[in-house]
Amino acid sequence: MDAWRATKAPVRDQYLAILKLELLKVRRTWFFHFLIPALIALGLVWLRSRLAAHPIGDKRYVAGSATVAAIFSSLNAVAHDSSAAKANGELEQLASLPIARAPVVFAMVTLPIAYGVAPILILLFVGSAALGLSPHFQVIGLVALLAMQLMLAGAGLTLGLYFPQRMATSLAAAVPLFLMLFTPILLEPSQLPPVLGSVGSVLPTTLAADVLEHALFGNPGGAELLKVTAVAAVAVVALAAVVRLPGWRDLD
Amino acid sequence: MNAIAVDGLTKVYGRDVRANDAIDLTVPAGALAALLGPNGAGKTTLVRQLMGLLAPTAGRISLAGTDVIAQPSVARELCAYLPQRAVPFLEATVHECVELTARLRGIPRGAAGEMADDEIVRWGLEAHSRRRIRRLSGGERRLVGLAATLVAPRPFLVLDEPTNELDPVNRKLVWQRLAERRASGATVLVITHNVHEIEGVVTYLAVMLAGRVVAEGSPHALRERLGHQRGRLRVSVRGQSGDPPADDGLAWMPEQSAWVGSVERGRAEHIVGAALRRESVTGIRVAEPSLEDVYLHYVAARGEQTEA
Repeated sequence: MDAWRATKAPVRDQYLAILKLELLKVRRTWFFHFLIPALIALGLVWLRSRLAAHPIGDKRYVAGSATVAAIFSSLNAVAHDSSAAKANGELEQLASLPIARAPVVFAMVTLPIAYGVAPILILLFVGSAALGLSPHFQVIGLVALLAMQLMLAGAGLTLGLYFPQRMATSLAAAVPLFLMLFTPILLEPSQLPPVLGSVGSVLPTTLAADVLEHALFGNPGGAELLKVTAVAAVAVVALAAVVRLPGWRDLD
Repeated sequence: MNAIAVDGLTKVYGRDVRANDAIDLTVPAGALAALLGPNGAGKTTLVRQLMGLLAPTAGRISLAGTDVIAQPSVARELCAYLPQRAVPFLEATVHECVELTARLRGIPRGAAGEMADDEIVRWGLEAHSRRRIRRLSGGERRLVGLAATLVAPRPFLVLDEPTNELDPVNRKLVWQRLAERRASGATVLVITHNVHEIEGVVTYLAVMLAGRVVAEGSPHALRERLGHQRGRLRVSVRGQSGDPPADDGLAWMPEQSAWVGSVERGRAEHIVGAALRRESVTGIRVAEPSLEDVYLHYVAARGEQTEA
């Protein structure tokens, strides 16, 4: 066996090679990651511009719509992609190679995050202009955006790997979109039943929408810093969970 | 030395579906081994456990003396695996797929590219090298999968139905390439249900039925074992083969101007006598059982057991 000396790629090379395979899929998935989230979010803003003043306020409405776009572009699209990769044998092919799980996970979330940011930025600026707002860039806003994307992509990947059937994954990924209607992303907590208002206020998506709102249209303070830290922590937990979750290979 | 040793391997899906049932199997180092069995026999489940993709319910697997269940990364480092399904990286070109596989096996970029070029030529895919896999036929995709499996040589090759969807020329190429790898020291394990293809090619054979390995050994040993009970009778006839040479319930197979059947030794006298009484019969020859006879014998024995 000595003459064969098994070789193994460094983790960085593993990540780059898998990322390349993911990049090659862009022509097949761009509409799902980019076009649909952008259209949905812009549609929300257009709808708002046609209606009377929303009780939650325009600033929050734009930040909330951006969060909706993030859920579409990260959670839903990653759940869909990973479930497809599992169904067509791509994950099994990768799992049979001498590679670690972490580079696969990170390669699978990198791309959706990269092109999920674009529709959100378009929304923030086009939406703001449509509603007569003047957003300003702050680093904490970008951090919140990335942490939220990471968290949602991690959750999407968890769903894609956990459920054996694609239909089950699609249903599970649709649930957060539905539940979002009952959280204070696009509504005031006072407009919701008391329990939902309280629980929804501490959900990471709500925290991310809070930070985005203050980072774009106000002066974020200690509370926002705390919230963005919480979102980042949830993102780390989501990715750590998906790295350990069974469903890719049983023995690791 | 045994390259692959499986001991009491059991895999139960859900509550009571025993895909593998206390399997014992040993594949000698340097063998070109076939795991033969009908659809649903549990062959794929067995190799997926060997690769660490599935966790066994019970039992042990060792690869080159290393416990795969305790150290599953060994399987991925030592084995190149071709899954049953065609290569899935549909958006990659043929070259990208093979080169990236080599890189994921730890070959540096430049060398991986050269290895990919070489492997693509060996499989006759050079005209498709820059084409996306999505645009290839099923057989061409299978060849890409084989190129990706054989790039960056590993000491073990595990291939699940590698000749599916391939034409006869490419099927022959597959066995030729696997024999080459064996000659260079690799141990090759191939899952198949096509008994005709492995005749004269494999050096070790295991027959799997209903989740169990019911026979294993060299083709010679298995033939010899069966030869004590059965012989292969070739009855030559004048002109076209016409009716079977004896109306005895045997599954006679027509060949050009002949009938071939696997005959139980105890009944041979009666069958030969019946055949000789026919005017059209011009000759009778007894040969050692084929691997097909070996396989069918175990399938029939299993059927009788189940009925009993």
